[in-house]
Amino acid sequence: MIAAVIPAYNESKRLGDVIKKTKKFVNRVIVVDDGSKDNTFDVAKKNADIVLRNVVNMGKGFALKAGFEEAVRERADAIVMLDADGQHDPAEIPKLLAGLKKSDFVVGVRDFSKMPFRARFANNILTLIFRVLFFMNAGDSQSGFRAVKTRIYSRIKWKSNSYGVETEMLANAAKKKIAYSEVPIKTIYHEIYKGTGVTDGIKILLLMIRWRLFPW
Amino acid sequence: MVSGIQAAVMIFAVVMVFITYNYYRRNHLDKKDLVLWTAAWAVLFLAGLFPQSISFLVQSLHIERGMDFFTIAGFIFLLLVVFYLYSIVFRMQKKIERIVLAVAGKKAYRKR
Ligand SMILES: Nc1nc2c(ncn2[C@@H]2O[C@H](COP(=O)(O)OP(=O)(O)OP(=O)(O)O)[C@@H](O)[C@H]2O)c(=O)[nH]1
Ligand SMILES: [Mg+2]
Repeated sequence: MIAAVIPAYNESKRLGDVIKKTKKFVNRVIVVDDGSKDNTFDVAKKNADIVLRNVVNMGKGFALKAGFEEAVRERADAIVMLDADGQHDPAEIPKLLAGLKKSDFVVGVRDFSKMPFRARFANNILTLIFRVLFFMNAGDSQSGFRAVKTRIYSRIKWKSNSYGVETEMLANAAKKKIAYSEVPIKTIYHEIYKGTGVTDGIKILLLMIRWRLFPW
Repeated sequence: MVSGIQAAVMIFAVVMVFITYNYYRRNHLDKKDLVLWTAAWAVLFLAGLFPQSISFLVQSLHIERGMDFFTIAGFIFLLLVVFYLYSIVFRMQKKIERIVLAVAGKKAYRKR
């Protein structure tokens, strides 16, 4: 059984479409409404199989954790995670799942050259530093379009409640030597610079150093 | 003679006593906090009134001037407060996480 976990924060505009498309490729769609102030919850309820709602906004990392725990309870064999804002095309889910045949953790890698300048700059730096710190040849440390075999979830489980989550998952996978693979995905940008800003980038950078130096 | 700095310390202590009491009345502090903080301000007030009373401490610690003692003591105190606040925030964060998860589980929507 395959589950998809979609964290959503004020995404009523694009969420419905994302869920409908995702349903074609997985058995259960789990949406975590992260204390949205718009009607994300109603949109999710209308379309998804399971909807969790955090009464207050806790951050993407926490929302993902809640969704993964639910997928474990549902006895999913594999979990796909993707964003609710339409930056990940659900039609590429089969590609990620195919990657799970030869590994336990698959990351969808974007083409940095197709990004707006600021995003390209930030992703290049963060991914480069990630490679150096964790001795892992990762193509895109920030990508949130991923597939994970449920049995390795406990080994890559993260503590970050906010944007550090992608990096921390990958860092844990590197440290635990999880069988890892990558597939290329589309690079989609709708409204520019809605999410991760400069401060988030700097925070992720400092966190990386912390995870390297203090692994507990 | 009470010097300028002594007067400032004493006025500060008195103002803080009033603020502390007001916080207590508005339920932002409990009785234990009220007693503890008021005692702290009282000590500060007395130190301002009788600066000689701390001079033995200052001398035994080989600190040159009384003012230096206050700077050092203040710095240590601030570090303690930061540590204390950090531990509170950390515990609160964990509690909020547990509450949010519990509520999310109870109110979850599951299509049948
Ligand atoms: N911003 C934000 N997003 C959250 C939160 N919780 C869950 N999410 C979801 O996490 C996903 C990614 O959020 P974005 O803000 O687009 O972050 P991003 O894709 O890394 O950044 P951009 O490249 O600027 O779009 C979306 O599906 C959000 O709805 C939260 O607390 N804040
Ligand atoms: Mg986004």
